[in-house]
Amino acid sequence: MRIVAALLVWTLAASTTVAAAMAESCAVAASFANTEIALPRVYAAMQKKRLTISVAGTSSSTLPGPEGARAAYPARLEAVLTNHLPNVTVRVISHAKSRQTSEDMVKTFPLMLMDDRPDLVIWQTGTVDAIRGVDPDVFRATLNLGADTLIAGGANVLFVNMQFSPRTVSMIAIWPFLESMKFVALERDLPVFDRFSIMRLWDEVGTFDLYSPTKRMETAAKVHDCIAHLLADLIENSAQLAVAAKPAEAPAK
Amino acid sequence: MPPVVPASRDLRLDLFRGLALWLIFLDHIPSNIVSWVTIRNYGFSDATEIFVFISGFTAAFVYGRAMSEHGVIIAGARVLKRAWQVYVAHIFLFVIYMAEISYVSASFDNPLFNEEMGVFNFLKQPDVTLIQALLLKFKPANMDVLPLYIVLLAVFPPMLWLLKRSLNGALALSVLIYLLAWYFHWNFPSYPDGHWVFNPFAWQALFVFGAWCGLGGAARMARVLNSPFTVAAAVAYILFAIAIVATWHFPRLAQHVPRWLAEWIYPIDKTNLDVLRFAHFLALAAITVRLVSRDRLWLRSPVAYPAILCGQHSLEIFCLGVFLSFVGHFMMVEISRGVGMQIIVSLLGIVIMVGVAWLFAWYKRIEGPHRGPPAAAPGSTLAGGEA
Repeated sequence: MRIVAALLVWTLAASTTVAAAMAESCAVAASFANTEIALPRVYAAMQKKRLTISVAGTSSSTLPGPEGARAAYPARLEAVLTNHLPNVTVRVISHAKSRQTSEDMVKTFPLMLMDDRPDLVIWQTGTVDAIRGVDPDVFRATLNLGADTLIAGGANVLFVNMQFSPRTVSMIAIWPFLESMKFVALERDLPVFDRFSIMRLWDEVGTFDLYSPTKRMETAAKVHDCIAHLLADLIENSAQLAVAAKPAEAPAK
Repeated sequence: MPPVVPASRDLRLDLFRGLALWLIFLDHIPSNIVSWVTIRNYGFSDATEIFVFISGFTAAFVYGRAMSEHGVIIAGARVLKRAWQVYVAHIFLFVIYMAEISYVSASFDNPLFNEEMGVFNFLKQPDVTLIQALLLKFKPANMDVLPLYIVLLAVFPPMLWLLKRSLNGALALSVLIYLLAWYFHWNFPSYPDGHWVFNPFAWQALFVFGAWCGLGGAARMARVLNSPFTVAAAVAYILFAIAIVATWHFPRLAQHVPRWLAEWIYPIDKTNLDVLRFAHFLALAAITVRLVSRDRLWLRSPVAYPAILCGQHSLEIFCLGVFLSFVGHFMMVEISRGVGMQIIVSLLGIVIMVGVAWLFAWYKRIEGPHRGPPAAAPGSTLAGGEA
């Protein structure tokens, strides 16, 4: 059903020339990067001309090599947002570290909140838990606990779900984890950046070759750049929704 | 050629089990456009419920008769033999999976997917992995149904005995175990961490419920099933499920789900057979039984024959389906991932499943008169001894 919808979007996107600002390839999946859930803290921060975003995640929020940190989506997100919001000082601080389960990450949240005082926390997780065989119930409880901690710390929360990796998708049992994240988000009105569906669509329509073995960084860097663009759109749109939803509350931090 | 069937055999069981096997095959191929036709996209329950229920129904039907005719020991021994066959089939599938994953790991290198490479780590310790697989604790993705089935069959002899002594008493015990499992969080452990994806303590309830129906419960429920109130409730619930599931596919609709409702229904737990899933299966079953009565002529026509044939050889076709989903996925990533390929792989897979089921039926026909216990009832042959 999703694929059909996505294909429709794709046909539309393909027929109209997409603005050059964002690589047209990225726009194919734009419909997945729209959640209609408001991010009032982000809106308030933009009004105050200072937006701080923390990224909690694993190695799929990083890229290897000397250029990796600059090419990975957190750094790209900072660049894109800075470009879109010239009057706002945007900082994106990545805490991504490989092999962390959700539980490992939640333990680092209090310190992260204290150090960064983020307006938004992007929480990318799931794959490590799936590979380690963490109980989906435990995973869900951890997501709830983590989201509570972040919200209590004054941040908006945005989930980023798993990558779509065509070679291993049938080998890692990620479905229960995708579902758990979806349910936690639905229960708490949190936006999810559906990286899985986005990358799957890119793979299906041939935007990127996610299959061929390669040691080169080129495609990986482009993928992260696209993720950053779509994330930036989602964050900006969701922040604007906060205006309509209610007057922004901005408690002193 | 229409299947030859004794009057007592309900062809609907074979038909829907065959269809469930097709749906499981389609759902197991990642990113397959054809899988949008499968029922999990339109409601809470999916093909697993159908498979487990019908397996319970036929197990009770086949082995229940064996128990009446030959006693508890013989029937019990036959159930355990079946459990052993399923175990061997599971290990066979595991070997195929190992071959696939070893092949992929040798040719996989991409800076984008460093994280996903972690799934190959278990290849570094084959000593632990293989032993845990033999113990049914290490189960790769998509290989969770057969271990559940093994456990359900292994404990079925005493349950069957109890069902024959007290039909409702056995069902009550099964429901009690289901409730206790929810309350005390009982489940089997997995390796390296966590629990079984299909909790046997929970899913046994559906299996035993199927058995209960197979041993006469269905007839007892006929009045309730035929009441207009039941039908209306079932239709309403199915529509409700469609509406909720639509909000998963189109996130924009999610805001129309009231918060209290979301808090009440989520998460819908597949591992522990959530009551919402169970109820959704019951609603589908109630409507199906009403729409498709067992004496429908088309059940014996060539239209229904392919699915019925697959349903009559469920273990073999289930394993074949899992294997074909590996191969199909492999073809899609190696050759083409276009929509055309997805359709071709899906259709070809189902054709192969039907062809192989036909081959098994043929073997059974040529070997039938000379082999097997002479006492096997005709019904049990048609169930393929296959519960």
